[in-house]
Amino acid sequence: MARAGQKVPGRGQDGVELTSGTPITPFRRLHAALPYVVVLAVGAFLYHRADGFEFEESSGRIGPGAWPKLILVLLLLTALWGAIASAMRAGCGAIEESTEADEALARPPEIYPYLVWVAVGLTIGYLLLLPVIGFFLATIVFVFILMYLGHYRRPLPVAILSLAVALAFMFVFMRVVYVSLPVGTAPFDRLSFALMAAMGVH
Amino acid sequence: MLLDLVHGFVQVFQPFNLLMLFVGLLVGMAVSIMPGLGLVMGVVLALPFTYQMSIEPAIILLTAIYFAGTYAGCFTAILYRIPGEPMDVPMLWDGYTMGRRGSPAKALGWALVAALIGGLVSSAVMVLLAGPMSDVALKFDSPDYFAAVFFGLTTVVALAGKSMVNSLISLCVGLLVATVGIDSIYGTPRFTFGVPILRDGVQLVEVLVGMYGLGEVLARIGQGLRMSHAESGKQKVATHLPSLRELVAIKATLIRSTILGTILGIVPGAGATITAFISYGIEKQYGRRRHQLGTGLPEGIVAPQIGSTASVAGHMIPLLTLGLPGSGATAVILAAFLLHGVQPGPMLFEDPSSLLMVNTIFASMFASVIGMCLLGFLWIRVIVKVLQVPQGVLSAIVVMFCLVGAYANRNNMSDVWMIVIFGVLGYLFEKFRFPISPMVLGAILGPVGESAFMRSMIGSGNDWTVFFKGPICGTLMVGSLLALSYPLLREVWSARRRPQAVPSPGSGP
Repeated sequence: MARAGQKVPGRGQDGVELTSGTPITPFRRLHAALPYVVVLAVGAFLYHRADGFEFEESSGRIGPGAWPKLILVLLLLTALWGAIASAMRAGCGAIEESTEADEALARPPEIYPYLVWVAVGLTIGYLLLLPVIGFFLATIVFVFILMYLGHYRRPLPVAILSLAVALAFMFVFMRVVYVSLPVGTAPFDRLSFALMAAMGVH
Repeated sequence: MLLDLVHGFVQVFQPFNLLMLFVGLLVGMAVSIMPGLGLVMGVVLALPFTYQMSIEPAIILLTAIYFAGTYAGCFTAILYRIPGEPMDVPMLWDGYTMGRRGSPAKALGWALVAALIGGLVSSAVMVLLAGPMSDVALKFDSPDYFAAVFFGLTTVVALAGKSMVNSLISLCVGLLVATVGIDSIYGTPRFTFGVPILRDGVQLVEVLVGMYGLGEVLARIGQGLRMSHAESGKQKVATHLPSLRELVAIKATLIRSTILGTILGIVPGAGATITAFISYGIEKQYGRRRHQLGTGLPEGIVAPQIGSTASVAGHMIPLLTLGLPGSGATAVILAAFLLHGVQPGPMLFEDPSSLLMVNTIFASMFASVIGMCLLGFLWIRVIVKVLQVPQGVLSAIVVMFCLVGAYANRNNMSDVWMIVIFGVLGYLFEKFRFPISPMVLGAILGPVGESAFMRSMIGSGNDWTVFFKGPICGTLMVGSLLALSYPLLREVWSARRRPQAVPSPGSGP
């Protein structure tokens, strides 16, 4: 069993490679327990909120907070267990090995974590743009960049596909499913209305 | 009885009825494949088109959508790890895994056969037992109902794989998400934090599409959208139906899941989703190869698929005999009955004219099962071709379906923002190896469980032993506690035997 400061090989829960030169430190224990600590903090906050639910009390009846509190107690106990167990595991130098049955089942490692947050930011930008420039234009831009982020980087096919996706979604959801997609504000709404008229959407 | 059914088949094969059956199957498959739509939305969207029809084609159309919707979602679950419906979630564990191992066509073949067997057998059982079985469903009261839900939730522990802790946390998060909004008994806002949209609660479609759809795409973007060999779509893929020998090898699973699906389908609320989860959970606990489940076994595909498809026929029993809808889709079908001035119930079986209608519906269910499998056989080939589309293009289209599908639910931009929140949460779950499925299960079953729990507690004067007093709920609760303790004891036992071994904080199957 490894002690604090001892160096062990393998891979940590966060996916960081632990080599024979990786020391076991209190920081690593905390890092291993961090997801559970976050759950504990959020759980405690929610329990506090659930404790304060207002309702008209009638004799002997349980209130609207009973069910959430029951779940939160289970959550807090489980998270506490998880935090202690993961910290102890990290402290013991017990590191995770590949436990998958075979290589085909292992999820690929995350190699572009920043791209995830770029995609999230892009989606947020898209949602902000939708009411302004309308579904058609916003979707063309959004889909174009999203395909580019997805490593499909042939400009002409990407542009044609973006246009096709925007038109197809407009037609299916506005003409067939009768969904009122955002048309945007002036002057962009003119384009939306022109397309809707061409598709027979009223 | 058989002659009545033959008369029903004659009605089904009338041109317009047959056309409605075909349209219903196509619509059901289409909506269940598209994330964010789903079979309930398909049935709802089709309802206005039935106003001008007579009752038979109307019910045939809606029932066909319902049946096909329980089956086609397996395509996207197996091929892309995106369940079209909550009931398709168990299909991810072995179906998707079998696909990743290089046999997506085989996985789809197993799902097809499972849907066929489950649908046909349960429809036959429904015809035989429609009357007597309604008496059993009537005996369920609130504690029994809660016990059934609790049993469904405990099966998630059996699915936890090597980390029961992460699975339980995930389940609790799902149950908590389900409590957001106005409490149905007291009218108290819970966890709304002053945000108006949260007062209506979190829509299931937001959780499902966000966690699985957008979350999965985000995770894939982080991985560089790399494809395994199985996902490349460049290999020659054919539909591989299992041989008779392979089917015989899992006969216990076939029998178990069909019985379970039909029986659970009768319980109002214990719908295709619960049935699929329980079928998988039972297989995980009692199957011959239970320890290998989650690694791409046919049993893991067959059990949930049979369960969900078989439950449709089960749902139709309380609907037709008691007028009680057991699911969202059957509630819409009930509405179609009422719009046509027909009140489902025991009297349907007394009047000869309505008896013909009932038999037409029965016959249409057999025809739906066979039809959807035939269409599915052809549809699979088309779907598999989609694998050849570049992942960057496919991901963009999936994201668009997620966002627009969520918006279409209520024409509300707030729903789309919720999708983004749950998408990020799904990505973080993946990153820190918390299984997503228990969270989704908790969000689905939470409201049902809470409602039964509160009614039982209020009705019994806060006596928690009420859940153990009745024969039905007592049996289910004891079964649940045994199911809950078994993996725990197994984990403790394994840890004691392997003091140096390293438990994985990873997700379940």
